[in-house]
Order: sequence, then C-alpha cells, then structure tokens
Amino acid sequence: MVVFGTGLIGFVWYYFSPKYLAVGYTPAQPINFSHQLHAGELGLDCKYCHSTVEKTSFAALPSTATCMGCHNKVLSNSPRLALVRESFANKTPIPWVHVYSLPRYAHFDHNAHLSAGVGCISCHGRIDKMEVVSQTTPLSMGWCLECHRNPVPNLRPKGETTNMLYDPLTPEARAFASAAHSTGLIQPPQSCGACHY
Amino acid sequence: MAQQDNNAKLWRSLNDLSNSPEFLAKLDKEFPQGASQLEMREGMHRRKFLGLIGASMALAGVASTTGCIRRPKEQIYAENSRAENTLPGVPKHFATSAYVASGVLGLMVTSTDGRPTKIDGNISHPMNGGRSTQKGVGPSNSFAQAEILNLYDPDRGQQCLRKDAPVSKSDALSAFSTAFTATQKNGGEGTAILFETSFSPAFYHLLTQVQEKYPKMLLVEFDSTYSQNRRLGLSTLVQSPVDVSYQLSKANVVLSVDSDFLGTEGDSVCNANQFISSRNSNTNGLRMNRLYCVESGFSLTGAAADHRYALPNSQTVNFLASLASELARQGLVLPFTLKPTSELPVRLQKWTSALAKDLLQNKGKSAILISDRHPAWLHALVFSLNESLGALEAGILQVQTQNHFVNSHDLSSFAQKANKKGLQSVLIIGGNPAYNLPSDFDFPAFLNKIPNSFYLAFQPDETADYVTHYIPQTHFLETWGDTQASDGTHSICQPLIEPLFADCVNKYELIDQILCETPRTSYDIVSSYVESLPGNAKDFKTSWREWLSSGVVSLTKSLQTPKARNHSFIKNGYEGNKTIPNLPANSLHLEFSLDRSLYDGRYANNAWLQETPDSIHKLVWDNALLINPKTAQALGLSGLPKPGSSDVDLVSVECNGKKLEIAVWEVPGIADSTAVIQLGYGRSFGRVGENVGFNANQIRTSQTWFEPSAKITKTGRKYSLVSTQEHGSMSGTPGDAKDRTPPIRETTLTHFKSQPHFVHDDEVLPVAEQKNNLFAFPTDPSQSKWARQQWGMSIDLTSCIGCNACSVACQAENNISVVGKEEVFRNREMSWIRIDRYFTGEVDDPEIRSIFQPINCQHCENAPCEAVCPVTATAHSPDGLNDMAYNRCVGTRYCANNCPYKVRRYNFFNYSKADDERNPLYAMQKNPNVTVRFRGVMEKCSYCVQRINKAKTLASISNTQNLIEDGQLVTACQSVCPTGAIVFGDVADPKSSVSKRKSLPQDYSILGELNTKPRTTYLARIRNVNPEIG
Repeated sequence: MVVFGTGLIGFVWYYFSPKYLAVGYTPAQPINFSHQLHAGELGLDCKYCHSTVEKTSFAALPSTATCMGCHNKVLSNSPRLALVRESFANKTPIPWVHVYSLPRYAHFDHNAHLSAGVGCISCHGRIDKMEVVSQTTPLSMGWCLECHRNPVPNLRPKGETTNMLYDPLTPEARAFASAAHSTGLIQPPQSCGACHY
Repeated sequence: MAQQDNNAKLWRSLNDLSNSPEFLAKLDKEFPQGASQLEMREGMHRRKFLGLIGASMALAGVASTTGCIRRPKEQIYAENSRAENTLPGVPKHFATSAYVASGVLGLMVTSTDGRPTKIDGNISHPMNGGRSTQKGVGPSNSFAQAEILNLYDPDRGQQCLRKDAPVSKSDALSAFSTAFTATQKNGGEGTAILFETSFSPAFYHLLTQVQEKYPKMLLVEFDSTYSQNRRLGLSTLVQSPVDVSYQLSKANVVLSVDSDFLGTEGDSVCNANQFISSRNSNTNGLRMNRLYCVESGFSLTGAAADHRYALPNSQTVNFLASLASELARQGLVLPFTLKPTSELPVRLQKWTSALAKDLLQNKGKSAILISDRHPAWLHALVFSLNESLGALEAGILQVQTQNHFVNSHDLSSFAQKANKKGLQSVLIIGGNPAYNLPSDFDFPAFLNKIPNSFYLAFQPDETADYVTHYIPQTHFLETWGDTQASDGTHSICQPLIEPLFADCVNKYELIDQILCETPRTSYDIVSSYVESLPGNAKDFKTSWREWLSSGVVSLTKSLQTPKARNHSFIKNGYEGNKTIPNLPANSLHLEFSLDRSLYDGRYANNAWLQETPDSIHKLVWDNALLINPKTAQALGLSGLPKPGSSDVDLVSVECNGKKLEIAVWEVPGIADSTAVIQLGYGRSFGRVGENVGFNANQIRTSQTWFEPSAKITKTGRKYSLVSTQEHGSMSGTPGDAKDRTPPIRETTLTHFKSQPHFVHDDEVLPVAEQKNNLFAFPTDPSQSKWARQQWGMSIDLTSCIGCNACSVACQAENNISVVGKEEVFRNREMSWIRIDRYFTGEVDDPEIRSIFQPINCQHCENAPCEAVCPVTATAHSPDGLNDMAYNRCVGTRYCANNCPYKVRRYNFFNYSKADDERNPLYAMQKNPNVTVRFRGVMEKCSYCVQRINKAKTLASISNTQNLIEDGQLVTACQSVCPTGAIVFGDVADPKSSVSKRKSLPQDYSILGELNTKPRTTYLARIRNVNPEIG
C-alpha cells in the first residue's frame, strides 16, 4: 500500500508536471518551415524575421511580406510555399501553431530579457537544429525562478544573444556573466508582481 | 480637544450617526448581510450545482487518464504585412477631441494593436488643464473614461432599419436623399432637420450650406442639457450672440448659486483644475481661495464649498436680490436696483452680509456662478453683478461669440408646422428626443404626422421606434470631425478604427448626401473646412499634421466683449418673477438635475457608470426622489432602508397633471421641503439601461427645471434601492470609540496655520513609531536592486472633489467587472477605489457639509492580509507593493476579513465571463496587460503594477542605474484626476513629488494606530472658513 501510494505520488509528480507534459511538444505547422535550414544552414539572424524581439514584449512572427521578401525570387514556384503566396495575395494570415505559450496570468517580456543579455537558446534550445519547432523547456514557474535566482549561467554579451554557438563556459564568458550580475545590475526580480498581474 | 473643527462628528449615514447596533455590527465584518453565504443565482439549485461539480470531476478523471491535459491547440495569426512604425503589443496614442457629457474635452486615446482600449484627456488641450508645453495623457472625467465602453456597446446600431425591419444601407441612404433633394425646387419646403446641440464648426458650416440650398428648410437645434438659458440670458443682455467661459484660477472668492461647475455643468474638468489650483495650500504658501455655495440640492460644488447653505429654490431669486441690495448697501455701484420681496432667515442674513463683504473686499478677484437651469434673466442678473464686481475686466469671466449654430429655429416652430401637417420629411440627428424632451412636448405625436422621418443615432433607442428609417451613427472614435470648446479652442477629431459595423454613417457624410452630387468623405469635409479658415498659413498640409498630433488647432481667435447692455431685461425678469405661493399640504418644491453618472440618459446603457455609486447619495443602478430626513419625517415617508434590507417607500409624484411613481431616498443636506430627481433613468432601451430607475421626463415640462410644487402621495408599496454608503465602514480597533482615530481629519485654515501638526492630535500610536518605516527589505541581497525604489501614494482631501473619475479610470485600466444591483446589495461590488463620503454637522442643519475620501489598497508595509493567507497568494515585493498573485489564490477570503481598510474584492461568481457573454463586444476593450480575473479569486488595487513593470523595463534599457524617474510612472487614477489630488511615486527618493507631499505637516495615515504602516497616506482637508460666519 505504502509502495503503491509512493508510486502514485511519484507518478503524478513526474508525469503531470510540465517537464513531462510540455517539453517535447512538437505540433505540425501549416507550412513545413525549417529553422534548421534558415537559421542553421543559411545562418539568418533570428532578428531578421523576429524583428520586434528587442523592441516589445513579443517576439512577433514575421509578416507574410517578410517571407515574400526572399521568396518572390527564391523558390517562387515551390508547392511547399503555396500557402505563403496565397496569404500574400489574399491578405489572409498564416495560421501558425503556438508552441511556447504561457498562461494568461503570467506576463513575459522578450525585450527585458534580451536587454539583460539572456540568449534565445536559454529558453528555445538549439532552434538552429530543429526541422520542426519543438518546446525544449518546461516553462513552469519553478524553471523560470531557477534562472531568476541565479541568472549567471544564462548571461552573455548583448551582441551574442542570438548566437547559437556561443560558449558560456569559457573563463571569459564566466567572468563576463558574473560581472554582469554583480556590477551590471542584472538581478532578476523574484516577487510575484514581477510576472503575475 | 485641539481639533476645534473636528468636534463636528463625521458620519456616513443616519445609521452611523445614531450608532445603531446594526451599523456597529457591520463595522466588525468584512462582508455583512449574507455576502459570504453561497447563494445560487436564479435557476441554479443546490442539487444541480453539486451534480455539475460531480460531472466536472468525472471529466477531469477522463482527461487525466487519456493524458490530454495540454491546453488545446492555439493558433497565432501573424500579420500579412506590418504597417510602418507599429509594433505588436506596443500601444499607440492618438490625440482627438469630442463633446463628452458636460463639455468639449481634448482626448488622448490608447490603441492597442488597432483596437482603442482607453480614453484619457489630452494634456495640451486647454479644457484638460492646458499645460501646453507638455504632450501626453492628462486629466479627464468619468464620462470620457466610460466612452470607451460605449464604442463596444453591443446594443449600438448595427444596421439600417425601415419600420424596425433591416434594410440595406444604400436603400436607406437613397430614400433619405430622394426625400430631401426632391424638395430642392421648392427651396426645401416641408422638410426639417432636427439636430442635437453639436460643438462642431465644420458641421455648422455644412448646415449653413444646407440653408443656402434649401432656404425654406427648418433647422432646429435642440438640447436636452440646460446650457441654453445661459446663452439666451447673456445674448439678450449684451444684444449679440455670445457665451461665457471661466478662468477660475484668477478668483479668490467664488459664489455658486445652484451651479455645479465642478460636476455636471459646463467644462467641469477645466473648472475643477483651475479652481483647485488656487486652493492648493501646499503650493500656494498657505493661500487659498474661498468657495460659497447656496443650493437646494446637494452637488459636488456644494460638497467642495467652504460654506454651503441649503436654501429651497423658491428662495433663490430672493436670495440673489438680497445679495445685490446688500452689495449695493456696502458700496458697490450696480446698474439696477432690486428690492427683495421678503427678508431672509436671520442666519442667512448674517451669512449674506459676510459674503457680500468678502466679495467686495476681493473686487476684481471674485465671481458668482449660477446654475444653467435657472431662467435667462437670472443669468443676465448674475452677469451684471459679476461685471460690477470686476470679474469681466479681470478675465475671470470671458465672453466670446457663441460656437453654436446661430440661425436655428426652435422646437415650437417645428411643432407648429408638424401639427399643420406641413412637414413631409424630417431628419433627426442624435439626441433621442422621444425620451429626452419633457412630457409637455409630445414628440412621437409629431413624428406620426410626418410621412418620412429619418433618425441618425448611435443606438436604435426610444426615438427609433417612431421613425420610418433608422440609420446607425458612428462613434466619435470612428470618424473625422472637429470640435470647438467653450473658450474657442478648435480641435480635430481623428478616427482610430474603421466603423465596427459597415452600416454606420457619420453626420457629416449624411448631410453631404443632400448637398453634393458626388458625396465627399468626412475627411474631405473637415479638412477643407479647416483649410478655409482665416489665418491659415500657406503650408496647410504641415500644419494639419501638427494639429492632428497635438490635438489643438493653433489658429487663435480674438476675444471681443460687446459694449451694449440691456438692463431692462433684468428688471422685467425680476418683476415678472412670480412669487411662489406657500406650499400646499403634502407637497414639495421639485427640482430636476442631470445625473452625475448617466448625465441626461446618454450613458444609461453603460454598465460602468450605472454601477458607479453617485458621489453624494451613493445609490447604484437607480435614481430616486431625494429629500432630506426632516422632510421625510414630516411627510411620514421612509427613505432609508433598515440594515439588512433595501426597501424604501414608493411614492407617487404629481405635477402638471402628470404622475410618476418613484422611490424615496433620504439625503441630509437637501434643502427643506425640496425634492430632487436626477434625469437619465427609466429608459426603455438597452440590455443594461432598460427599466433601471425612474423616468423624470414624464413629469417635467419644458418651462422650468424647478417646479414650485408637486404633490407627494404614498403608494404603500416598497421599492429596493441599493446604496453603498455604509459599505467599507472602517472601525480600526474594536472597543472604545476614543481609541479610534477619525479616518478623515479636517480643520480650518486659521487653525492649521497656528497648529500645522494638528492631524497628530488624536493619534493613539506615536507618530514617530508609525513613520519609522521604509521596509527593511529584502533579506536576500540579490533583490536589493528592486528595493531602491519604494512606491507610495498621497491623496489630498482638500483637492478631492469626489467626482468618481478615478474609480471609472481604474475600471477601464484594470478590467474590473460589473456585478449588478443585487450583487452590490450583498457588498460584492468590485471597484478597486471606492470614494467614501462623510457628512459633517447636524442632520437638519442647512450648513451641513460633506467630505470625500478615495480609498484603494493602502499597500501596508505591515500588511494584515499577508499574514493570514494560507497559500502566500498575497505577498510583499521588495519595492513595497502588496502583490496579489491571482493564480495562486484559493479563495479563502481570510485576507479580506483581516483587511481593516476593507479594500479587497472577491469574485463570488465568474463576473467577467458572465459580463462578456452578455455583452460580447466588451472583450475588445480589455487591457491586454492586466489579467482578467476568474471566479474564486481575490483582487484589489495593484498600484497599476503593469505600468510599474513597463516603466521598469524601459528604465533598465534607457539608463544605467535602471531607476524610474519621477513623473515617468503615473497610475490610472492619478492621471485622470482633474484636481491632481492623487500623487504616486518613489517614497525612498526625498526629491520625488510624492515624498514632498508626504513631508507636509498635514500628512497622516488612516487607522495608523494599527501599525499597518500604509503606503497610501492622506493630506488632511483644510477649509478656508470666513471667520465672520464661523
């Protein structure tokens, strides 16, 4: 009985947690857009498409016009891009599927995190290796607080935020991060009202 | 007792004054009268409720076994192409302007991702404070704040109607233009346009063109508010069409005669701003202006007055005549002499002579304001008095050419012609005449005699039932236009959004249908009109863009004061004034006034305003026959429900041969033998406003706003009236009254000068101990960054005029739900700021006064609510906020129970969801930066934490210290306040404006003896009393 009880608690503890339920969520998208190709092989900067990430709380998806900026020349007849062309011609939005979604009572600001020097990789993982975007982190409150209590492992120079190959473990990188934390005032808030309002 | 003036007891209601045991019991409890019992809504039975709970549990079980806990698949719709300079989630602000209830206001509207979400004042517009060097959000009033909900009113007109059946827009418009253009060869014979008073010069320009094209057309301006008497009186006196506006900052002594210039009459935002600016004892080095008020009702102006006298309106003319002769006796040269018909009461005589002396001593710095409801000749009389007192010369009164359509006919000529069946087609623009016009003007009967009637209005309201065609009108946020304020300031209105419904038409384009072959757009009409104005620079395009951005057209107009004076108008008026006979038995003087929440009824379908408690009597979702307790007793009426009940007497009011049944409510401070009814209720339209309250227009006549006598008969039936006047009564320490400190502290200017620290006289806990605060937070050194700035608020009770603007602004900013009358009765209202109103003085004293105190969460450093929360859903942040994490709250309501200020609000039902389901468009108004709360969670004022967080992010990017500068961060209540009573900021910085406020000697905390160390503190109210009156 005790074993069963402990087992049940353990089962719920792990399998009902975002670590199990949220991580790995890889919904099919309406267009087979490959981050591996665009961000990885072609080396486009994240901010080329997600251009608002340093200006607002949203890392807004690119508008169809941004896609067509290249694809009116490149692969302009590819059947895989039919939906993009259709959207551009008819002025209809592309119905992307939300992957990293937060509950409505939690407010997150991309702008604040980027200006503090937190890289994309900290939350979104190696996006440059993903054929289809998949959630790599649980986005649970405990997980957020881990970094808000000790941000040092995730801090990097502002110019390196989109760099997927930046090595945070070099002595210089470590020195930079701890200096940013102590003297650069990169001290994330831990109070409820910082995110929940 | 050192607080000489505080000997007068402060009380919230008659139950409070008499220390009734029920009231005392209320003090100890957070939720009296069944608020905390589970009460099912209609149609919901306990067994069914349990069944539902069981079913949802079972569903949850199914869900967990199949493992589909993840929220449903969500789509993100990216824009097709992003407009230049737009960033998702970053709100934009647009300057515009509109006529909002009492006057024209400059507006600064917030648009979030293309949908307007909040309306504020435009600080560079003179009607909002006019700090022309500054750009941005400025003060406004509760009506302007609530207009945003009107835009999303689900009952607004959505399609054209012909005899109540939908028709296409093109059919309706062509029916309209054929009906009118067909008469062109006869010069427009048999047609009429009735339009609600507008403040748009471009619209009047269009009408002038219509008049040229159709010389025989009747153009009738009508006004359901009462500004016409003032214009008529002045224009007759000076023999040219003029109007007046005020510069009250220049006045030292002001007398108001029934005039609610701080509330519903005229440009209240501008008036309040200017009036309080020369009253602010902290900035003016202890110099204050003085306000006298003689009134029969109880207005906001009366509540703000240093001396108020409740005088039945039958005595008003006599009072003014006595004042004029007293002024003449004391040496003022007047162009006329008036002999008072009878002597004033002895006390008022003394009062009047002290007042006259004060007015004369401040000659050139004093002014008299009279209610717009009074007849025209009284306006002429008061204008003349003002002129003799030098107010015109000093610029306190400014006379300028009327910004109205001058060549209009009046309603009686329309009635005559309609009666003779001389009208074939009529267009009505706004104004809802079928509801708003008094009963003696039977508007529907006239409409029945006209074959083609077209009605352009925002809602298919009462009038729409009687017309052949109804055409939906755009909201002012959906169309181009212009406005002219009473001081001549010209502004352009720009649209923020396409009309929500394609059938909507604006008045410019509709009129243009019968003027031009190829109809123009409202943009063309307005811009070509502005371009044609004299004084325009050559480069019109550039100045047009500048004006759009600033919100004010910078073409100045010269003021001219006409020289002619027709003083015989005053004399004739006075002689023609009938002396009012003695009141018959069971009768009262009856007075009508515009409502402080619904105005003339145009906001009846606005749930925010319906639920805002009236400033004085605190009724929600109703109006009533307001009488004072003495009068109620004399007539044997009960207008004050027993605790635990809401039943009051329903009476029948008979006047001019018409009858109205209405509930009675007792308000101390209304003049003896006087009854006041507020307009705007008893509508028969709208899912919010229908059948709420009583329609006073049914017994009103177009002759007067003051009926000399109305017969009151008890019906024997009861009616439920809900008032919040006893809600949130605070007791502090239980036990002996002497251990409690008064929540309101008040004194006279003279006493304050001699005893600046008078507020501490009654303190039980030493003040040093109360103030030895500033949070020894945080213990965690990594959080020290966030503890450098400490937020606090200061509210000045001398400046607060109780206008409710903060309360409505908070509702708009923080997505606060509306709960309805029954729920308010159970103390379940959700407003985060309540305005407590206290009376001071004896109940039957005509000089009884009242004081307002806005109460929001006090953000105690030593917060009693935090200690009792079992799940730490409410906790302190390092910057001194009492945070509330909704998702953590389990709804024990312990916190609310332990809050001595009673500011916590609990979602007993899913109010927001219920409201959104009833009114599906409301969701578009919601502020995306504030969580919409759900059933079972506690909420309260957050000091606008969303704005603090936004400012923090900006500061962390823009400056190295990551500190928010003083003035960068403004709460919603602070920015809307027309008098600057609320100041918010960093209390850790001694140079911030809030710290400066808090260092003033009159600063105190409410219930300081509980050692809660609240961050919101108050500045005591100081009255500038005339020592001769006492």
